[in-house]
Amino acid sequence: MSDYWLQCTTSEGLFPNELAVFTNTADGDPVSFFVDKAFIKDPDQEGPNSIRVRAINAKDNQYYVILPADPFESSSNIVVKSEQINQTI
Amino acid sequence: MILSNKEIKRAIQENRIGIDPSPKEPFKTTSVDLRLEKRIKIPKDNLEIVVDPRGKIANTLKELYKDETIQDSGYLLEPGKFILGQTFERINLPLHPDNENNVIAARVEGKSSLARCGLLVHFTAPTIHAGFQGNITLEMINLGKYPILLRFQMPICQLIFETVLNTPDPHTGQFHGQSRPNGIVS
Repeated sequence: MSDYWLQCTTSEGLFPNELAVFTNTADGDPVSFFVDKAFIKDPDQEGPNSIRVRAINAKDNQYYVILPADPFESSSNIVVKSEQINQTI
Repeated sequence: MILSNKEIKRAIQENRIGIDPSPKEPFKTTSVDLRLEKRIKIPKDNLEIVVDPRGKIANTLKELYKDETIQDSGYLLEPGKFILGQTFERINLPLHPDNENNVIAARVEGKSSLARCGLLVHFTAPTIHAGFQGNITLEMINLGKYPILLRFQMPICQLIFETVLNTPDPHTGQFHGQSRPNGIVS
Protein backbone atom coordinates (compact mmCIF):
# COMPACT_ATOMS: atom_id res chain seq x y z
CA MET A 1 0.00 0.00 0.00
CA SER A 2 1.06 3.53 -0.67
CA ASP A 3 0.01 7.02 0.32
CA TYR A 4 -2.06 8.97 -2.18
CA TRP A 5 -3.93 12.26 -2.35
CA LEU A 6 -7.69 11.73 -2.55
CA GLN A 7 -9.78 14.58 -3.91
CA CYS A 8 -12.20 16.02 -1.38
CA THR A 9 -13.87 19.18 -0.21
CA THR A 10 -12.97 20.65 3.15
CA SER A 11 -14.62 23.11 5.48
CA GLU A 12 -14.14 24.29 9.04
CA GLY A 13 -14.05 21.52 11.65
CA LEU A 14 -15.38 21.42 15.17
CA PHE A 15 -11.97 22.10 16.68
CA PRO A 16 -9.18 24.35 15.36
CA ASN A 17 -6.85 21.42 14.63
CA GLU A 18 -9.32 19.65 12.36
CA LEU A 19 -11.33 20.08 9.18
CA ALA A 20 -14.61 18.60 7.96
CA VAL A 21 -13.96 16.45 4.89
CA PHE A 22 -16.46 15.51 2.19
CA THR A 23 -15.88 13.02 -0.60
CA ASN A 24 -17.72 10.28 -2.49
CA THR A 25 -17.32 6.58 -3.11
CA ALA A 26 -17.04 5.17 -6.61
CA ASP A 27 -20.80 4.66 -6.50
CA GLY A 28 -21.40 8.29 -5.64
CA ASP A 29 -22.35 7.69 -2.04
CA PRO A 30 -21.38 10.64 0.17
CA VAL A 31 -18.71 10.21 2.83
CA SER A 32 -17.96 12.81 5.47
CA PHE A 33 -15.82 12.97 8.57
CA PHE A 34 -13.63 15.19 10.71
CA VAL A 35 -9.87 14.77 10.49
CA ASP A 36 -6.73 16.42 11.77
CA LYS A 37 -5.31 19.09 9.46
CA ALA A 38 -2.05 17.10 9.22
CA PHE A 39 -3.77 14.84 6.68
CA ILE A 40 -4.94 17.70 4.44
CA LYS A 41 -2.84 18.89 1.51
CA ASP A 42 -3.74 22.53 2.02
CA PRO A 43 -4.89 22.77 5.64
CA ASP A 44 -5.71 26.48 5.37
CA GLN A 45 -8.01 26.05 2.41
CA GLU A 46 -11.75 25.48 2.52
CA GLY A 47 -13.33 24.14 -0.67
CA PRO A 48 -11.66 21.77 -3.17
CA ASN A 49 -8.75 20.04 -1.47
CA SER A 50 -6.99 16.69 -1.07
CA ILE A 51 -6.57 14.32 1.83
CA ARG A 52 -3.71 11.86 2.39
CA VAL A 53 -4.96 8.28 2.38
CA ARG A 54 -3.51 4.81 2.14
CA ALA A 55 -4.68 3.10 -1.02
CA ILE A 56 -4.07 0.36 -3.50
CA ASN A 57 -4.99 0.27 -7.17
CA ALA A 58 -7.30 -2.70 -7.34
CA LYS A 59 -9.13 -3.25 -10.58
CA ASP A 60 -11.45 -1.61 -13.08
CA ASN A 61 -9.86 1.78 -12.46
CA GLN A 62 -10.82 1.67 -8.82
CA TYR A 63 -8.79 2.21 -5.68
CA TYR A 64 -9.35 0.63 -2.30
CA VAL A 65 -8.80 3.40 0.20
CA ILE A 66 -8.26 3.51 3.96
CA LEU A 67 -9.37 6.87 5.27
CA PRO A 68 -7.56 8.35 8.29
CA ALA A 69 -10.81 8.78 10.23
CA ASP A 70 -14.14 7.03 10.59
CA PRO A 71 -16.80 8.54 8.33
CA PHE A 72 -20.34 9.07 9.55
CA GLU A 73 -21.84 7.13 6.67
CA SER A 74 -19.57 4.13 6.23
CA SER A 75 -16.51 2.19 7.24
CA SER A 76 -13.13 3.87 6.90
CA ASN A 77 -12.40 1.45 4.03
CA ILE A 78 -14.02 2.72 0.84
CA VAL A 79 -13.67 2.29 -2.91
CA VAL A 80 -13.14 5.32 -5.12
CA LYS A 81 -12.65 5.94 -8.82
CA SER A 82 -9.10 6.28 -10.05
CA GLU A 83 -9.77 9.83 -11.26
CA GLN A 84 -10.39 10.81 -7.63
CA ILE A 85 -6.80 9.89 -6.80
CA ASN A 86 -4.54 12.78 -7.65
CA GLN A 87 -0.96 11.62 -7.38
CA THR A 88 1.37 9.40 -5.46
CA ILE A 89 2.88 11.15 -2.47
CA MET B 1 -0.41 -7.04 23.73
CA ILE B 2 -0.54 -4.02 26.03
CA LEU B 3 2.70 -2.06 26.29
CA SER B 4 4.35 -1.64 29.67
CA ASN B 5 5.73 1.75 30.68
CA LYS B 6 9.19 0.57 29.62
CA GLU B 7 7.91 -0.36 26.17
CA ILE B 8 5.99 2.90 25.90
CA LYS B 9 9.18 4.84 26.56
CA ARG B 10 11.06 2.74 24.01
CA ALA B 11 8.31 3.23 21.42
CA ILE B 12 8.44 7.00 21.96
CA GLN B 13 12.22 6.99 21.53
CA GLU B 14 11.84 4.96 18.32
CA ASN B 15 9.12 7.30 16.99
CA ARG B 16 6.54 4.52 16.93
CA ILE B 17 4.50 6.63 19.37
CA GLY B 18 4.37 10.41 19.19
CA ILE B 19 3.06 12.46 22.13
CA ASP B 20 3.43 16.23 21.91
CA PRO B 21 4.16 17.79 24.32
CA SER B 22 5.99 14.92 25.96
CA PRO B 23 4.11 13.45 28.90
CA LYS B 24 5.52 13.72 32.38
CA GLU B 25 7.32 10.69 33.76
CA PRO B 26 7.05 8.36 35.48
CA PHE B 27 4.26 6.77 33.48
CA LYS B 28 1.79 4.40 35.05
CA THR B 29 2.71 0.75 34.65
CA THR B 30 0.65 0.34 31.46
CA SER B 31 -0.66 3.74 30.36
CA VAL B 32 0.05 7.42 29.90
CA ASP B 33 -2.14 10.16 31.34
CA LEU B 34 -3.29 12.88 28.95
CA ARG B 35 -4.53 16.34 29.88
CA LEU B 36 -7.57 18.40 28.95
CA GLU B 37 -7.30 21.12 26.29
CA LYS B 38 -9.03 24.43 27.05
CA ARG B 39 -11.23 24.42 23.91
CA ILE B 40 -14.53 22.66 24.46
CA LYS B 41 -17.76 22.40 22.48
CA ILE B 42 -21.13 22.88 24.16
CA PRO B 43 -24.39 21.70 22.54
CA LYS B 44 -26.72 24.59 21.76
CA ASP B 45 -30.14 24.53 23.37
CA ASN B 46 -33.54 24.35 21.70
CA LEU B 47 -32.43 23.57 18.14
CA GLU B 48 -34.95 21.85 15.91
CA ILE B 49 -32.44 19.53 14.28
CA VAL B 50 -32.61 15.82 13.59
CA VAL B 51 -29.20 14.17 13.41
CA ASP B 52 -29.26 11.97 10.33
CA PRO B 53 -25.94 10.12 9.91
CA ARG B 54 -26.14 10.22 6.13
CA GLY B 55 -24.88 12.89 3.85
CA LYS B 56 -23.18 15.96 5.18
CA ILE B 57 -23.64 15.31 8.87
CA ALA B 58 -20.36 17.09 9.57
CA ASN B 59 -22.11 20.32 8.63
CA THR B 60 -25.03 19.46 10.91
CA LEU B 61 -22.73 18.81 13.84
CA LYS B 62 -21.10 22.18 13.41
CA GLU B 63 -24.52 23.77 13.85
CA LEU B 64 -25.15 21.80 17.04
CA TYR B 65 -22.27 23.14 19.09
CA LYS B 66 -20.98 26.45 20.30
CA ASP B 67 -17.41 27.27 21.31
CA GLU B 68 -16.40 27.57 24.93
CA THR B 69 -13.02 28.05 26.58
CA ILE B 70 -12.13 26.73 29.99
CA GLN B 71 -11.23 29.78 32.06
CA ASP B 72 -8.75 29.88 34.94
CA SER B 73 -11.69 29.35 37.28
CA GLY B 74 -12.60 26.15 35.40
CA TYR B 75 -15.73 24.98 33.60
CA LEU B 76 -18.59 23.59 35.62
CA LEU B 77 -19.99 20.44 34.01
CA GLU B 78 -23.48 20.05 35.41
CA PRO B 79 -25.03 16.62 36.04
CA GLY B 80 -26.42 15.08 32.88
CA LYS B 81 -24.66 17.53 30.60
CA PHE B 82 -22.68 16.43 27.56
CA ILE B 83 -19.79 18.31 25.97
CA LEU B 84 -16.93 17.61 23.57
CA GLY B 85 -13.36 18.16 24.66
CA GLN B 86 -9.91 17.32 23.38
CA THR B 87 -6.65 16.16 24.81
CA PHE B 88 -3.98 18.83 25.25
CA GLU B 89 -1.44 16.43 23.77
CA ARG B 90 -1.28 15.52 20.09
CA ILE B 91 -0.89 11.82 19.41
CA ASN B 92 0.82 10.21 16.43
CA LEU B 93 0.69 6.47 15.77
CA PRO B 94 2.54 6.22 12.46
CA LEU B 95 1.89 3.46 9.96
CA HIS B 96 5.31 3.83 8.38
CA PRO B 97 7.87 3.41 11.10
CA ASP B 98 11.23 1.83 10.29
CA ASN B 99 9.93 -1.44 11.59
CA GLU B 100 6.67 -2.04 9.78
CA ASN B 101 5.92 -5.07 11.90
CA ASN B 102 5.79 -2.99 15.04
CA VAL B 103 2.82 -0.70 14.46
CA ILE B 104 0.91 0.54 17.49
CA ALA B 105 -2.75 1.32 18.14
CA ALA B 106 -4.24 2.64 21.38
CA ARG B 107 -7.35 2.90 23.49
CA VAL B 108 -8.44 5.94 25.40
CA GLU B 109 -9.83 5.17 28.83
CA GLY B 110 -11.14 7.20 31.69
CA LYS B 111 -9.45 7.70 35.03
CA SER B 112 -10.94 5.78 37.91
CA SER B 113 -10.72 8.79 40.21
CA LEU B 114 -12.86 10.90 37.89
CA ALA B 115 -15.17 7.98 37.18
CA ARG B 116 -16.00 7.91 40.88
CA CYS B 117 -17.27 11.46 40.47
CA GLY B 118 -19.48 10.32 37.61
CA LEU B 119 -17.36 11.64 34.74
CA LEU B 120 -17.25 9.74 31.47
CA VAL B 121 -14.61 10.94 29.01
CA HIS B 122 -15.60 8.67 26.15
CA PHE B 123 -18.31 6.24 25.32
CA THR B 124 -18.43 3.67 22.51
CA ALA B 125 -15.40 5.18 20.77
CA PRO B 126 -12.22 4.28 22.64
CA THR B 127 -10.11 3.03 19.73
CA ILE B 128 -7.24 5.12 18.43
CA HIS B 129 -6.36 3.33 15.22
CA ALA B 130 -2.86 2.79 13.91
CA GLY B 131 -2.15 5.72 11.62
CA PHE B 132 -3.98 8.23 13.82
CA GLN B 133 -2.56 11.70 14.10
CA GLY B 134 -4.01 14.59 16.09
CA ASN B 135 -5.62 15.55 19.38
CA ILE B 136 -8.04 12.96 20.72
CA THR B 137 -11.63 14.14 20.91
CA LEU B 138 -13.34 13.28 24.19
CA GLU B 139 -17.08 12.75 24.51
CA MET B 140 -17.63 13.90 28.08
CA ILE B 141 -20.72 13.56 30.23
CA ASN B 142 -21.35 13.99 33.93
CA LEU B 143 -23.36 11.00 35.08
CA GLY B 144 -22.90 11.93 38.72
CA LYS B 145 -25.24 13.79 40.99
CA TYR B 146 -23.10 16.90 41.46
CA PRO B 147 -21.32 19.39 39.18
CA ILE B 148 -17.71 18.60 38.27
CA LEU B 149 -15.21 21.42 37.82
CA LEU B 150 -13.11 20.82 34.72
CA ARG B 151 -9.80 22.61 34.55
CA PHE B 152 -7.41 23.31 31.68
CA GLN B 153 -4.60 20.73 31.56
CA MET B 154 -6.12 18.57 34.28
CA PRO B 155 -5.31 14.85 33.79
CA ILE B 156 -8.47 13.75 32.03
CA CYS B 157 -7.89 10.34 30.50
CA GLN B 158 -5.29 7.66 29.98
CA LEU B 159 -3.99 6.07 26.82
CA ILE B 160 -3.27 2.36 26.68
CA PHE B 161 -1.02 1.23 23.82
CA GLU B 162 -1.17 -2.09 22.05
CA THR B 163 0.97 -3.66 19.37
CA VAL B 164 -0.60 -4.48 16.03
CA LEU B 165 0.51 -7.72 14.50
CA ASN B 166 1.83 -7.14 10.99
CA THR B 167 1.13 -4.04 8.90
CA PRO B 168 -2.54 -3.14 8.47
CA ASP B 169 -3.88 -3.62 4.96
CA PRO B 170 -7.34 -3.10 3.50
CA HIS B 171 -9.55 -6.15 3.65
CA THR B 172 -9.83 -6.22 -0.09
CA GLY B 173 -11.77 -9.46 -0.01
CA GLN B 174 -14.85 -7.74 1.37
CA PHE B 175 -14.87 -5.42 -1.64
CA HIS B 176 -14.63 -8.15 -4.25
CA GLY B 177 -17.16 -7.60 -7.00
CA GLN B 178 -18.69 -4.42 -5.61
CA SER B 179 -17.77 -0.92 -4.63
CA ARG B 180 -20.08 0.05 -1.81
CA PRO B 181 -18.42 1.29 1.33
CA ASN B 182 -20.11 -1.15 3.65
CA GLY B 183 -18.90 -4.37 2.13
CA ILE B 184 -20.81 -6.90 0.09
CA VAL B 185 -24.39 -5.89 -0.51
CA SER B 186 -26.67 -8.75 -1.45
